[in-house]
Amino acid sequence: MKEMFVRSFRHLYEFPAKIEPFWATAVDRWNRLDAAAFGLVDFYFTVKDEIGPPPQQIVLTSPQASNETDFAFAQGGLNENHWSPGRFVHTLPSVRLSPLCQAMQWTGPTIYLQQGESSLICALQEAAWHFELPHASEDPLWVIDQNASNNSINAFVLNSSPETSQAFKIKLRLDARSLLSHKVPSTDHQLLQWIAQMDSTRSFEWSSSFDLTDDCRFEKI
Amino acid sequence: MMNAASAPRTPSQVRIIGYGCSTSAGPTTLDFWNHLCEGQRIQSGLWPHSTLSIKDQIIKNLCLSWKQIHIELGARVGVIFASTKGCIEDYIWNPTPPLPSQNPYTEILSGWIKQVGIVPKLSLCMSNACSSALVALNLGSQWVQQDRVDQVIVLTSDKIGRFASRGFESLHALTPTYPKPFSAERDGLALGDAAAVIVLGKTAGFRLKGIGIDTEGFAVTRPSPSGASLKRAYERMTSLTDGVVFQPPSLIIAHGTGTPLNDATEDQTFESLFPQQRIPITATKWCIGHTLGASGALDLIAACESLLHQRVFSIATTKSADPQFQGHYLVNEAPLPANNLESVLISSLGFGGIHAVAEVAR
Repeated sequence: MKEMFVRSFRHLYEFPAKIEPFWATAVDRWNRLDAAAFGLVDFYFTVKDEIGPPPQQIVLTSPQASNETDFAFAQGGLNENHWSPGRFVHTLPSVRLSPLCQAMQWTGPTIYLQQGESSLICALQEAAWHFELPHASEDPLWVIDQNASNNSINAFVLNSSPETSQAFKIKLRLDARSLLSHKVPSTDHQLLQWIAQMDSTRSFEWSSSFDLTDDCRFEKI
Repeated sequence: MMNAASAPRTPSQVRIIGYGCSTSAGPTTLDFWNHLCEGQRIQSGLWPHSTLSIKDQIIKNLCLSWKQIHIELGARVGVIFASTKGCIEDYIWNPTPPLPSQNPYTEILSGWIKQVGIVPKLSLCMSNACSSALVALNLGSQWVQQDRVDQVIVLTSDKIGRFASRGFESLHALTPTYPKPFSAERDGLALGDAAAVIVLGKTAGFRLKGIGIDTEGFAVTRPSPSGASLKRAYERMTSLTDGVVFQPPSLIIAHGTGTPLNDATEDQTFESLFPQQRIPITATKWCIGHTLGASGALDLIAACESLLHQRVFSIATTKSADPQFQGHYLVNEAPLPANNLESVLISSLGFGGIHAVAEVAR
């Protein structure tokens, strides 16, 4: 059994910004960023001092991908005959990582993945398994879940060793070799509810663990 | 600048045990390979006209690609679908929202799974710009290496519709004539439809020696001119792969879009990695166009075919290489190297600064 220790962050941002953000000079043309890219940079500068050392990899998930920017580009072309190159360059979900890399002054592997309503769960599982690769670094790994429709970000910092203030653990059963995964009903929404309840004073409606598949579970610390 | 130099390695014992593709050259890998070897450029780059939705065209062509693969699947199979745009274009021209609450990448994945009748243990979708295929293959390699599944089927496809055409036009990235990669006259890329399927496993097949990925924040639409990021991807692949010796490859299949900046970056990178070694460099996009999320898979298939047939193809639309470039480009009518291919390096450059390399060997 392998354990990962997770800290979570939640960030809400306003877009379009009413005033120039304090980090405006840290990225190229901040006012040309779309909502998703703006949100990631705003998130980074908000948590910069508490998020810890730089990651070995960033896993991004956003179930809506770049749907809204795609729609805006298409409708701009149809209605105004203006096919905006500025919009087009943001019509890929992974592109928003470029301004984030610039803001962080970081380079490294990134990945955008999606699995419908369980995209975040899937991203956390993949991140946890990543630590099991031979020669995996001790550096943390970031999982960022972005909801582009309500301008919110849930971010998770995974470590293979315990630190202070982590919120929950992910346990991998590395010996699990069953033929098929029998997923219990689980969605990102349920997971986020479970995480939010851990921080509240209310009694938990969920148990202290959150079974995902036959080889992975989340567990409250 | 922080650099995740110690990022985990790519597994080394993974093999490419099957592949197939459907491109504008025709519905089989043989069509693609023959066009490359015969120096035939496809005029339109698009699949034959169809009244099907983009989703159904992609599923259909993924099925055509899958039918070319004759392997016995194990009990535990993983499936990854990688694409830049998937089938979002089936939704966005309607002026009345709502948009789908999720991007419909998963509709393609589930549609293909239903058509072929397999029950995957793991499945997900990925979109990492024009490096999508190599990033997906990297994750699939990890699944195999970690024994989470017996085989991984990597599906990649993009169908060029009005969205991509108008978008690349707006960036002035399309050539008014035809792509001429690594030529001094290069003036842009051509777009192409494609679906490609690659199956990874541990049994006999081409050895996927490693994959390296890097993301930089230099600019959204262009790589850093020095090629630093692509070079980091290569160094990450070679330094973090256990038990695999990386010699200079026998051949490089470059991303080779035919755009001024991308080609210059690749030239810088290759010369920096292999100074004065005159490794032959070729490309595929002059033939079938830039197939976006599928392009890395097609280059990998071309690499496997080159290794299989011990044959190299040229960049047939380029008469002579840019005199400012230092690489040994296999331009039209250049003598092709002798048949001693041991390994092939391929590279992908993606919007958003995500770049990747992979090396495959006999």
